[in-house]
Amino acid sequence: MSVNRELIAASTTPLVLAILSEGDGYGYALIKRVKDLSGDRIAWSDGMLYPVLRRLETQKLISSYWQVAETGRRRRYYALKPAGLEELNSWREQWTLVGDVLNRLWPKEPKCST
Amino acid sequence: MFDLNRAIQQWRTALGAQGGLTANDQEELEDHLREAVAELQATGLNEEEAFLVASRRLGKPEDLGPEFAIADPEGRRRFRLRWMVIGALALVFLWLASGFLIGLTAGTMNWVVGGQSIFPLVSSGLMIGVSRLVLLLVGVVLIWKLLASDLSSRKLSAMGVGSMILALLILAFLVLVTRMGAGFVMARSFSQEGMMHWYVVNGWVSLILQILLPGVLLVGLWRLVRS
Repeated sequence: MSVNRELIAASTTPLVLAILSEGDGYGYALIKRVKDLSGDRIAWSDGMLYPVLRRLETQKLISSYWQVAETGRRRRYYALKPAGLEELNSWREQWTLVGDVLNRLWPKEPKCST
Repeated sequence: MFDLNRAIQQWRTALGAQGGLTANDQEELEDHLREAVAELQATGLNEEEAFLVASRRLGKPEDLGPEFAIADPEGRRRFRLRWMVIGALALVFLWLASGFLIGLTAGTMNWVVGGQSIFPLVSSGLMIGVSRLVLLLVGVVLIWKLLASDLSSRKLSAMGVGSMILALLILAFLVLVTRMGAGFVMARSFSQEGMMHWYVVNGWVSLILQILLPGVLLVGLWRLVRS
């Protein structure tokens, strides 16, 4: 089973914010973390993440800084800002609500009347 | 023999040719690509295979550019500005080319009929106006086609052409204002001497519009492409 494209798009922002709430990270690591957590079932197309990061930075939800990585190259790291944490909490309430409603409906066996 | 550094360099050059990415964006994507290549190599792929897989996963430069341009307002501004300058340049060159073509045609016709002007002033003015308008329309359509084939995103090619049309309107307004200014000078000094003055002003205005403007636009474009 792979996750619907629209659902992936809708969950990208809360996923990025949630991962950054665990600690600073860089693009490649964020993608790997999502792959690992979802057992490879949420597969972001790699290039799509960076424009999202750019947008979140413009919205001042995250910030970025450069640091030399163990590879010897400069690497751009991202950190969650207070506004981003607020945004994450709002997302969390919304997703929890949607999940709760669906969970109340789904214990009954779904069937159709026609 | 496959050279990874050269392949990455070429890939990055293609990335830089896209409008919306800063040097930092490019460096970040290169870092991603290199890390993905290293990881794929660790699973047993050779350099070339790893590069092909990793660059495919990251996306083609011509698809990444528009994504960045849409996501980032700064990139979008840069993208718009770039196409405004290209549009203005296209207009100025079309204008010069049309003038040259019309002059050439009129000259040839006069030469054919033996030094006699066969068109009255008004209808030749009309002809010049209509032919310039047609040339401009053809130019805009051509640029639209070119953009649509070059950019994967419909929204972006519309944005590019929109910026160009805006640039054309601004330029037309500037020309109108400077010409009206010159007309004002002429009306204020309507003597023989004043007429001479008007010709001098008109000459300067034409010089600025036809030589300096394309120059300034070219420099602007060069700086934009380099940034």
